[in-house]
Amino acid sequence: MTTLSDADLGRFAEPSLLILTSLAEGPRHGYALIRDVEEFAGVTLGPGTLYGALARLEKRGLIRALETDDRRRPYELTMAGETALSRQLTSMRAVTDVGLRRLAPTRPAPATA
Amino acid sequence: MSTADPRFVQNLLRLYPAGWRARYADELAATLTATMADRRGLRQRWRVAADVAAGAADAHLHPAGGAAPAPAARPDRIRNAACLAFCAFAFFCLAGSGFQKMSEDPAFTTAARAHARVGWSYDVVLYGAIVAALAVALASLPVLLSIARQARAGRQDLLKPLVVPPLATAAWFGLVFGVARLHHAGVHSPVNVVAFLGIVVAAVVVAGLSAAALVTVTRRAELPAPVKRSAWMPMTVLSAAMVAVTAADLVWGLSLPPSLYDSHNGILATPLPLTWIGTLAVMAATSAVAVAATAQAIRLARGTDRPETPPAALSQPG
Repeated sequence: MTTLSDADLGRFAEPSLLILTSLAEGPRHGYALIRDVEEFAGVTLGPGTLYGALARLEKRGLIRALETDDRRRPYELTMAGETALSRQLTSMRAVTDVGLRRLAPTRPAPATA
Repeated sequence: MSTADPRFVQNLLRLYPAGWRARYADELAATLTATMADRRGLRQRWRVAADVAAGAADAHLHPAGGAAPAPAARPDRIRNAACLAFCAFAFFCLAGSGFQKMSEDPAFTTAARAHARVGWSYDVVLYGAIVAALAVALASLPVLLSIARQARAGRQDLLKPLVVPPLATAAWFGLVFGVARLHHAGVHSPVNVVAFLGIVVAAVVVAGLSAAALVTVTRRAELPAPVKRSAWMPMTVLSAAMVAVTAADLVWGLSLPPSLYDSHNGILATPLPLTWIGTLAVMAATSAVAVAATAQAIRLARGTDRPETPPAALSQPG
């Protein structure tokens, strides 16, 4: 699997990207993921959506479950998850750069000495 | 019933398929409860409930999409590693029997007296095998006691697989005695070779069946966590002994006088160097498995099987 697009995540693709981004900082359990995604993306993931995405990511080997802490089970990125996230973000950055460049007002090229 | 009510949460979880619930229900319940408590207003809470209901529908519609098996608890993983090391030892014993059969010829006894290295390496094989067997016995004792206690308390299902090792071993000895009655001319006659190979294959099957039966009982039994956690200690002794025996087998074979390698007594008598290489290969492979399983058990027992970095954001309620 090279990018998240290859993971065939359907409607869970965007929540999955947000979850992987959150886990890039370290292991988190379900509620901590919801709070973190809210903070950095302004998106509120519902528990049903969160666990639909977590189950898919785990099944595809992009994240792994750690031992439960009471009833809360933290998840962490796997190497495959890190790679897929990194490639996905790089691909998105390329699109973002092109889009922003094309949207920017045309300026005269700086004079060179 | 309010949306923060635990019964409401449990009712929502019942919407999910049983297999999904077995894996995720506890953690989803914790997340759901925390989320409900965090949401202000009935409308927001009902939106969360609708999201869970949609997630449940998705779990029914796409059962292959999720529900990966839960990772086993750490003591269970140590027990599994111990079972793997035990299976490796079972096949190691087969190679050991081959070594014993190979070295029982008087020519090797004489060589052991005449060549110091042959002598001490043979002793290391012998005493290493005893140490390994003691380590297995030490590890098995609390397991057997626990199984006996549970069997007395009504867990008769634990006893059935224990019949397999003695029955399979008795059948194997029956086969060997039957084959020994075949007085066929010529060491390398087709009948003898086929019979020998049959004995070897049967021994492998017996070892496999016996190990599988004992592992089944060990996994079915509810062993106390301290018993599972402490398994790494006898496993370490077992692995060290297996490695020592393997190394000694290597030294023994390399130290034999060349004249012994010239013997052509056949596959049923003293088939050097084929048997030696065969026993060495099996010993090395099974020792490697035992060492890997022991290393895994030690990592699990010490809690170093995953990064030591403290998990981020775990202090939040959830």
